[in-house]
Amino acid sequence: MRRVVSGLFVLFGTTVLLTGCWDHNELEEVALVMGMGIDKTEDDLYKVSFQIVNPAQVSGGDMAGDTGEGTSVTTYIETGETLFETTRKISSQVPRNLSFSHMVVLILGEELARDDSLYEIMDFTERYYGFRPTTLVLLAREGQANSILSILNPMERIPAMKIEETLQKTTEAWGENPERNINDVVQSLSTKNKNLTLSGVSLVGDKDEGQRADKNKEAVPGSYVEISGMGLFKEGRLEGWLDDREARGIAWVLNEIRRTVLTIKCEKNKELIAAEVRYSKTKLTASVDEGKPEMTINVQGEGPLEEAACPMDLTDPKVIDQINEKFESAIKQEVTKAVKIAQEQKNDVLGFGETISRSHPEEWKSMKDNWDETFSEMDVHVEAEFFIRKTGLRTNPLILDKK
Amino acid sequence: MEKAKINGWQFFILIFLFELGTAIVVNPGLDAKKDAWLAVLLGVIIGLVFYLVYYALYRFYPNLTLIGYTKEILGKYVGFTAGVVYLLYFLYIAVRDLRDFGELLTASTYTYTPLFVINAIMVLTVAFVIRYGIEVLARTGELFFSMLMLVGVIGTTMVFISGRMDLNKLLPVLENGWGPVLSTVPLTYTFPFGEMVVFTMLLPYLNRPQIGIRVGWTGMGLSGMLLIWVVIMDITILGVEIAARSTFPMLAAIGLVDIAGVFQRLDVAVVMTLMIGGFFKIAIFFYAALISAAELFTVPTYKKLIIPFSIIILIASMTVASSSVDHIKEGIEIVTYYIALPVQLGIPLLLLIIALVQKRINPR
Amino acid sequence: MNFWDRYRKKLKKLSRKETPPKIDNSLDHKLDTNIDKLKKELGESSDLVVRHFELGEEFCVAAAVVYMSGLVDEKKVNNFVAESLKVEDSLKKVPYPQKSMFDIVKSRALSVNKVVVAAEWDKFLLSVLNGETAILVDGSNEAITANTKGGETRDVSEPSTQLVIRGPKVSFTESIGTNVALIRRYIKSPNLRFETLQVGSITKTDVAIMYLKGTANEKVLREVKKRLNKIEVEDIFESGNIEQYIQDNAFTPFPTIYNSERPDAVVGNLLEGRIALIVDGTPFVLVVPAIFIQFFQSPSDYYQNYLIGSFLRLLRIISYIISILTPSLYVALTTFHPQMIPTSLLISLAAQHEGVPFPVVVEVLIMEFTFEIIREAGLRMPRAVGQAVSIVGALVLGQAAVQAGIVSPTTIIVVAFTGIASFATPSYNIAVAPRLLRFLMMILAAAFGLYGVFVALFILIAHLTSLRSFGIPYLSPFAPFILSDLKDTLIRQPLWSLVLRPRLINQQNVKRQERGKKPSPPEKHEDN
Repeated sequence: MRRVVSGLFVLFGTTVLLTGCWDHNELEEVALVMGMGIDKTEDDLYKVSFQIVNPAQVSGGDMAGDTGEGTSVTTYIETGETLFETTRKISSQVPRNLSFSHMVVLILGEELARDDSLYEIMDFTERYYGFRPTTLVLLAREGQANSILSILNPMERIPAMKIEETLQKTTEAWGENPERNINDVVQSLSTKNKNLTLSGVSLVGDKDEGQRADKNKEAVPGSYVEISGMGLFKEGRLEGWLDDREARGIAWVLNEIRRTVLTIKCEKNKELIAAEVRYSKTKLTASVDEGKPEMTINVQGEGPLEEAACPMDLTDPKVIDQINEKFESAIKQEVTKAVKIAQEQKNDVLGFGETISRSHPEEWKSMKDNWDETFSEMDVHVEAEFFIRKTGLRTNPLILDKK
Repeated sequence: MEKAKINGWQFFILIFLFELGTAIVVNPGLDAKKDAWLAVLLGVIIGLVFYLVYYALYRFYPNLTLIGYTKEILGKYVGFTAGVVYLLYFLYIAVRDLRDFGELLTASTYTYTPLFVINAIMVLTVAFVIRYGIEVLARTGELFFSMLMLVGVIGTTMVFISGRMDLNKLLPVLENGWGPVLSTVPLTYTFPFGEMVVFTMLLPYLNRPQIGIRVGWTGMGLSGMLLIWVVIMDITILGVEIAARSTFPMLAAIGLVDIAGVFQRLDVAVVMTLMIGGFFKIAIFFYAALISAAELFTVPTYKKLIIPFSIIILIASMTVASSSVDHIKEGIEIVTYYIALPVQLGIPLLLLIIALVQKRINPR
Repeated sequence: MNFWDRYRKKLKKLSRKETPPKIDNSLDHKLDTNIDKLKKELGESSDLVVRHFELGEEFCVAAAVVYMSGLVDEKKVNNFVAESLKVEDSLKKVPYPQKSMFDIVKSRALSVNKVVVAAEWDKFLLSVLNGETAILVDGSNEAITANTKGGETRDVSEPSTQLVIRGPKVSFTESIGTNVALIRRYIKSPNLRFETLQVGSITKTDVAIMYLKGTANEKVLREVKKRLNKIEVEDIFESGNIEQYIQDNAFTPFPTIYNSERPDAVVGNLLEGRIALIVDGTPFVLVVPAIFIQFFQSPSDYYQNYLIGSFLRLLRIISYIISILTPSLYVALTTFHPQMIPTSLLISLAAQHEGVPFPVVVEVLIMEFTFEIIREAGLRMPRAVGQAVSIVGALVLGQAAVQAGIVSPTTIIVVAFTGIASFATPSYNIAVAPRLLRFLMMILAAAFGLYGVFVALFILIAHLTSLRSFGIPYLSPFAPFILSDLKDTLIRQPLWSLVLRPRLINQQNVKRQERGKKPSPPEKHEDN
């Protein structure tokens, strides 16, 4: 009996082994797509660019061959009616199977984002098993996604990874640009209002120059890619861009500030004080009064003082309290401005609707159909608390004696 | 029935692995949207209550399997027919679970591999292990249980560290009232808690009959808690909309875990871990079908039936549904109401009532 | 029913037919007849020594001393002969008939150790062949035999297969007497019992069953005896031969009987209630019943700090798992699930593999196979050459293969790592099992990726759980799970906490020490 079973097993096994391994891919048969850019052509076709690694040019070690001769990545472009179509059609240019499992960025052209294509794209990235849901999504600001992906870059050998890491770094250290991955975008698109914010990425300098590998020998690159701005989406369509403090205001409300730098003027002088926000937390509290919703935004933050050019006695707790208050009002100002912009645009990117629907589900039912109007008219109170926890390696500023 | 005894701990593990089985990936109850966890909770409670029916029957006939005492209670012919119904039920659910498992693998990582090959290998593995008997199956379970626990603990920690859970996504509770929750409960009860009916075939192997209730309840209760936890995890990570749209929500949730760029794409590892549950579920149904067939048709040893049954299950798993859509639809609409409820609840309740009446009329 | 069963039945029939013809199984009264018969039976063998002499003055009685040169200790023989033949004085005085001459010799001979009177021819023949010395006296149909075993044996030396940093540097030898003595020296208890029986119809190898009465499981003991008695084979050279006849399941690469050449390891097992089988002619002593985890216990675990002992124990188990899984995981991940490999690592793997002519599986299979060859070659060669083989194999071959671009460096790393991990297992016979399984797993991994590896794992674990060693589940105390026995498995808890003996191994005399014997610094007194 056992021999029969094991015999069958062996027989079956060998047959299976002989007929082929379906999902088997040798390493050299796989083309690793690191970044994917999607644009639309004039005749409404998708124009998809794939940034593919040339492993031998990237990896160090003995086996890597002659590093430095070829480019570390190659960007291929293919057009097609659907996205999936392009991933297979590209086989006429790429001699390998595309693998999206290590893709780090998905870049959408600005024009594309302004029409309804976001749904189609997101459905594909969600449905197709090969994608990683943690792939970051960015918008190509004022340009085409494919030109962004074709820029080479000296510090990180793989440009797509450069974009990913830059975005992660700036989100963490500066806070103006949101870090959104495929799953976040899909989640936002599944909510009632389909509002979301995405970071932009733009090309500085000349595209043709940036594509050449030898430009990497310059100390000051002539063309490069930078993360810039925050795109606001409403109903799945790109509505507009926010920059600098306004974008950061939105991030405060969304509780997405991890670290950032606050700068204020001291007294009436022009001198500045800067503090790093090391920890921050934003609480949204909704209340509904006779059918009219109100929102209270409470921002808490703390961190060390890092730069002080004011003649102030920093050893005095009272002075510190004064500075705290200034920081608080700076935060308040930023947040209020961002809220105002959102209300003017009637675009609830701040997630107020979600908050109300959670805390006041009954009232929400009557509000949700006319939410945009309600949102633009609702009262918003902003509160801020900030604490300086330490003043760095020195107590009083150098400038104190000058007075 | 073979001559074997399994202890309480092993029985508990079999129940635990069985309940998690395929339910942990498929997650029944997401039809109730945000309140899926409530639906699962109600499912567990109902399951625990009706486990009493199986347990009572077992205590009346401690040495008989379900097949044995249906004959005893209903008489030779009706009992035989009922036995055949159960045999078919066990076989059918084994087939369905195999298909579930195959669908999971072919949807997630083995997209180009034919379903048949995946299923065939699984059936071969199950057949190989079942040949050793229930004791070895239970002991294998003990080892894989600790493995599953280890992976579970590591996975949960990672989910926590990755900070993607947002409990707010569960609010508001009962947004649309009890309606959607209650209409989902038949599903969450029959799958997987009502499937405990298969353990009426295994209870006689228990070495101490009186712990049957304790072991059964802890097994069901703990696995139910874990299922609730997984549903909560799915919803809080993915948001209820994505979770409800996903074919395999847990897979999608785990796929989001990314710690320092090193621990990422854990979903493949998770799929493999889920193989453990799927394996035991198929194995237990398969085994129950084997011993019931052996008992019904008085075959001296069930081992003779392994090969024909393997072939039947394999072929049926390919033909039971034409597509994954068909398969899931069938599971929710037909199996729950027309197969599971009568077989898991109707017949055992009837048996218990008749047995009680018989005892009253004719006390021995 | 299949071919093998039929073949076995045939063999059985054959053996039944060959019942030896009835022969006269007694010694003759005449000395010459006996001597002639002996010479004839041994084929005039030149190592048979027969020394003739005569006893007494008036009644000259012929007598002979018979022994096999080389098997005996000549000193002992001379001593024996001299002692037993100091009959001259008494014979001078009283003229005795021949019959009593034998009795006198016998009574004299008793002063020498282990004197037995053999009346049957078989017994007499066997004792001569066993290295005993026999005295035959004319007119008596009995022989006096004495244990004069000796000859060339190896001295007790350091163990060569189970090395420890700390612990006794003693190993068993080929002599059963020495081995029994070595164990006796450790256990000074009257409960230590040993029974000897002979196995092998031609070799008549001595096998001693050694156990601690009152602690060893009686059921297992009966089973051991039953199985030993069932052995019907001509030759037993080594304990490995016995092992193959008495193990529970022959169709497995895993050993279900433990063996050791270290007396302290065997003694430890005896004290846990196991049974030792000492086979003459080999330093490897068998211990039954054996469980899986036992093969990862090294005697030195108990001689050092329990934290370190536990760490090393855990390390060995992990490296065992590594030695089974690594190559197949490597194949599965690189060819099926590259998404699970971190990006930069994957890119560097891909870069290394660029230009390698083979698929990863073939590459790994080639290297694994090469590694096995190198290992086997290094083992069989004389020690000096063996080192050269491993240097050439490891350094030159590996390095050259990489430089020639035939295999990628990662493959070499994987194979080498696996190889080294497999050396960390303290028992050789369980360390060899993965060498076979590895190839199977690699092929499954190449066909189905992780799914294949998992299927293989399922089958492997089910197989392991189905194994039993003399009725004891092989994977206990993990499956079946026995909490109290876990103390000395994956980790080794402090000695004072190992209060009970393993539950499955023995059910009687469970306690081995009192509770609460944890050492502590002296209690502080107030006057201090």
